[in-house]
Amino acid sequence: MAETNPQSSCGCSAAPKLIFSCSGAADVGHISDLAARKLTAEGAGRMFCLAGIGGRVSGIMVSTQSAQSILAIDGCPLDCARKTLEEAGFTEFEHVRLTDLGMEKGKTPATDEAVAKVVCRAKARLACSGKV
Amino acid sequence: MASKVNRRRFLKGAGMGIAAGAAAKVAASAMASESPSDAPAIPLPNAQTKRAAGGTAPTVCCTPASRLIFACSGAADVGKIADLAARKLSEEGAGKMFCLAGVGGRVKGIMETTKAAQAILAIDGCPLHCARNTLLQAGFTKFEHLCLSDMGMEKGKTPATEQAVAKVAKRGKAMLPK
Repeated sequence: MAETNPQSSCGCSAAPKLIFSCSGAADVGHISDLAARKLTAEGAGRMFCLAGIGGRVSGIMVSTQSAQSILAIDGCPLDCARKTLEEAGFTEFEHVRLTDLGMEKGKTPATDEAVAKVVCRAKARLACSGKV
Repeated sequence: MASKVNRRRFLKGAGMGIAAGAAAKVAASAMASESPSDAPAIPLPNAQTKRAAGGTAPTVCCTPASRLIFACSGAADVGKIADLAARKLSEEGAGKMFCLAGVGGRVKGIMETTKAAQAILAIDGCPLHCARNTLLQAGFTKFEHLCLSDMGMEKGKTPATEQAVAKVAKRGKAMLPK
């Protein structure tokens, strides 16, 4: 699947920076989902379907293999997004875990402020990521 | 489905109880160290895998079986609708949204709870059927499946409005056991 990247930050690579959120059922999962969508809307990267990795959907697997970089956002220490990528053979990616940002599972409503905090951390990770 | 799953699970648990008993009789033998444990690494709030005191079989028979909902939560508009519909169904008590990534990542506690579920509903936004394929890859074959494209919701052309979410939630609710 050929990919073009209208959001490329440096113009030297056609491959996108892909963002996978755990999108889990808990509040922190919801925040991770909203953060990935906001990062996409702001052009920091491109949210991609983690379920496509878990389901080994060929087009999604191929696009992910050719990504410039990958960011996984997990809500809690179960690290489901990280483990999904690893189960599928992806080992090089950035990882943000919301509980490491002081967000406690079950006690962190999915507010704009919480999402913005995750977006800020994720942007910093994306800025210095990329295959060399 | 529930009866089959629960019966299988009970037999598995009972078998392990017997194995544990045998291991105890030959204490300090290699068998004891090889005896597997299926307890979740991290306990889940509604895990169906509680063990009675003394390490006997799981008390599956007496705990309410759960109706689990997995959304693809994909990047597109229809993925967002699937995600929000699962959360809405969870809030309304029709079932319990569960972490699909935990199945994709083979997270032990989530796998165990999913195996013990009374019913499973997978909600996919588009015909790639990522949620369905994630469950199938993990060995789950018996579940209800709802795909938004089958409801006339076109990927990239269906804003995640409250109406769209409510429409999917209503269809999903009808597919879950009461």
